[in-house]
Amino acid sequence: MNKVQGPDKVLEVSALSRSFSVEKSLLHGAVDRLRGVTPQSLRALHEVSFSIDRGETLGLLGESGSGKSTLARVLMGIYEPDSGSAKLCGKDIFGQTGNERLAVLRNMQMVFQDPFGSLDPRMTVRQIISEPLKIHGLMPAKEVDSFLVKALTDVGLEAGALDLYPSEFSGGQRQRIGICRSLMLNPALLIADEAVSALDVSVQAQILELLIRLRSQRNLAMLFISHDVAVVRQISDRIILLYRGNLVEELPADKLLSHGCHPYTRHLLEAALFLREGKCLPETAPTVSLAASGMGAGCCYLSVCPKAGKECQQRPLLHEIAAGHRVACHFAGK
Amino acid sequence: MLSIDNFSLQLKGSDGRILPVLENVSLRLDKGSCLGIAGESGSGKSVLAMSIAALLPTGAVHSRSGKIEFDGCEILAASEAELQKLRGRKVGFVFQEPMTAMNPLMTLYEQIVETVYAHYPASSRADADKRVMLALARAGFKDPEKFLESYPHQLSGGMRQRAMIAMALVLEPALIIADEPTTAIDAALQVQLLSGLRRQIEQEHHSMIFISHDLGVIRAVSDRLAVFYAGCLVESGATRSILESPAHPYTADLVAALPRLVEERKLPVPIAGTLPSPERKPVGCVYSDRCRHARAECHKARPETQTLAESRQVRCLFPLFGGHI
Repeated sequence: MNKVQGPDKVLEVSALSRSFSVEKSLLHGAVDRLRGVTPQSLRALHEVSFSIDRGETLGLLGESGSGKSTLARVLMGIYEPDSGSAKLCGKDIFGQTGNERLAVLRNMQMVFQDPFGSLDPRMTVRQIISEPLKIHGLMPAKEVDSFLVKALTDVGLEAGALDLYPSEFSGGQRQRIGICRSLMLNPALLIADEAVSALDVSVQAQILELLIRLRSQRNLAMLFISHDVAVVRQISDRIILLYRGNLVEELPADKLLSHGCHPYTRHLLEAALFLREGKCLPETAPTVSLAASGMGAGCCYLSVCPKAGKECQQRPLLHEIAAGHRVACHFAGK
Repeated sequence: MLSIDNFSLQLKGSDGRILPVLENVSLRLDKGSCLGIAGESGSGKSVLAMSIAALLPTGAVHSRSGKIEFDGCEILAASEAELQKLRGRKVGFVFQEPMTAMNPLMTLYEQIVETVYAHYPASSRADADKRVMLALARAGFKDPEKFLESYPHQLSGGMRQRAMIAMALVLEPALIIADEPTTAIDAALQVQLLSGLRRQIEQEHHSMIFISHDLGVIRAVSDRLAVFYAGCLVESGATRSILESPAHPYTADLVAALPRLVEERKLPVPIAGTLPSPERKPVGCVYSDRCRHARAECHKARPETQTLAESRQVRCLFPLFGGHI
C-alpha cells in the first residue's frame, strides 16, 4: 500500500470562526434594518484551533447544534469562514481558487452520515467511485477496471459490485461505497461526519473495523465526528469537545473517562455511562436547556453549569493543565 | 393487558412475491411494565408494532394468523370502527421520524389537539387546552406556552421528538408504542427523554413497548426484553438477566457489537455477514448461517422455543445460558 508522505501536521486549524444570521423573512429583516436593529447572528464556531498529525485520529464530540458539522463544512469549503485559517499538509485551504484549491482539497475527503442520501441513486458504483478521479483529471488511461476493482476489494466489496446501483446494497455496504469513493484520491485526511451513526450496531462495528484497518494501512489521518461518546473514545487517539461552537476541552482519548474535567464533558460522560454501562445518573446532572440562550461575553456553558461562579462572566481561555490536555474552564486544574 | 399468540405475518412484495416477515411470535406485556424490542433493521420489530395497532395497509398484507389480544379486544378480528377507537385513545404511537410524522403546515398546538377532537368531538376548548398542556408538560416541555404556535421547522430536533411524545400521551393511552424514538439524538437528551417516558409509565401505570436496535437504550427503560432476528423472536425474558447472560448466540453477538465505555479500550466485535432477506432465510435456525456455534442439527429445521430458568425463553437448540427446567 502506498503510504502518504509529507510534513507531520496534516491539518492545522487556528482561530476558525463562522456565524450565521438568524433567518428572518425579507420583510421583517427590512423593518429591522430601518429601525437600526442589528441582525441577530448565531455563532456556530468561535475561534476554534486544533491540529491533526499524520496517521492520527482526532475525535470530535458534541451535541447537535454544537458546530460539529459546520466545522467539517467550513474545512471542505462548503461554507466560507468568517475569520481564522487552516492549513492542509502545509498549504492554506482558504483563499485559494480554481485549480490550486482543487489541488489542496485533493488531500482531504469526506465520508457522510447518510448512506442513502450521499450516493446518487442513478449512478452505478463504477460512476460513483470514478467521479473523484474524473474531477481531478486523474483517471488512469489503462487498466481502469482493475484499479477500481482493487479499490472496491480494499473496502470489502466484490468486483461484481461495479455495475450495480446503490439501491441494490444494504446500508452497511453503501457506507463502504462511500468510504471507497473518499479514498480514491489517496487523501492524507479523511473527515468522517457521523459516518456510523445511521447504521445498526452490528454493522456499525464492521465499518469501524474497516476504518481502523484502512487508517493503519495508509497512515491516514482522520477527523472522526460523532455525538456517540463510546464510539469516539474507541476509535480516536485524541478527542476535542465542542459546545455551542466553542472548543471546551482537548485531551488524549485514554484520559477521557478518568481525567475529562470540563463540566460539559462530565455531563456528556455521565449520560453516556448511563446508556452504555447502565450506571446510575447522579442527582446533580444539569438539564439540557433546549432554547438557544443568548451568547454573552462569559463562558459558553454558563447558563447550565452547576459549578458557575463570578469569574465565569469572563470567557475562559483554553489552557493546558497536563501534557496534551487543554480545558476552557476557570476551575480546571485547581 | 397485551398478549400475542403464535402470530405470523406474510406481506406482499411489490412484484407479487410473498414475504414471511414474522414467524410464530408469542409475547405478553403486563400493565405498568415496559417491554423492549431489539433487533436490526429488517428484523420485523417495527412491523410487529404496526400489527398491534393494525396500522399496516391492508393491500400489503398477504396473510395473518395467530392472535393479538389487547385490553379484551381481538385485533385481527376487529372492525375498522373498533380499531379507530383503539388508536390514539388506548394505544399511543411515538414514531421514529418527527420531521415526516408531523404536519409541516400545522402548529404544535394544532397537531396535538387534533387527536383530542378526533376522539372527543364534543370537548370544550378549555378541556382540550387542558389536555394539550398536560401532555406537553409530561413530555418534558418546561414552558409549553412559548411553543404552542410554533411550526415543526421552528422546533429543534429534541423538541420535535418531545412533541411526538406529547401527541402520543394526550389521551393518556394505556399502551404507548415507541419506535426508535431516540435514534440520532445525543446522549444527554436521550437520557432526559427516556427517564421521562419511564416516569410516565411508572406513575400512571401505563405500559410501553419500546423498539430500538440499541441494547443500551433498551436497558435504560425496559423491564422485559424481546430480541428479534429475521422475523423470529429468538430470545425473551427479564432485560437485566438477558444482557448479563445472553442465551441465544445472536443476542450474545449483539451485546458484543455494542460500543463500550469502560477503562480498558476494546473495540466492538462486528457480526460477520448480513441479515437474510425474508425470502432467503435459512431452512434451519434463522441465525444458523451466521452463528459461530452452529452445529449440523441447526441447519435442519427451525428450533422450537424452549423455556430456561428465570422464565427466559429462547429459540435455540444449544443455548449459551443453561439452567434447563
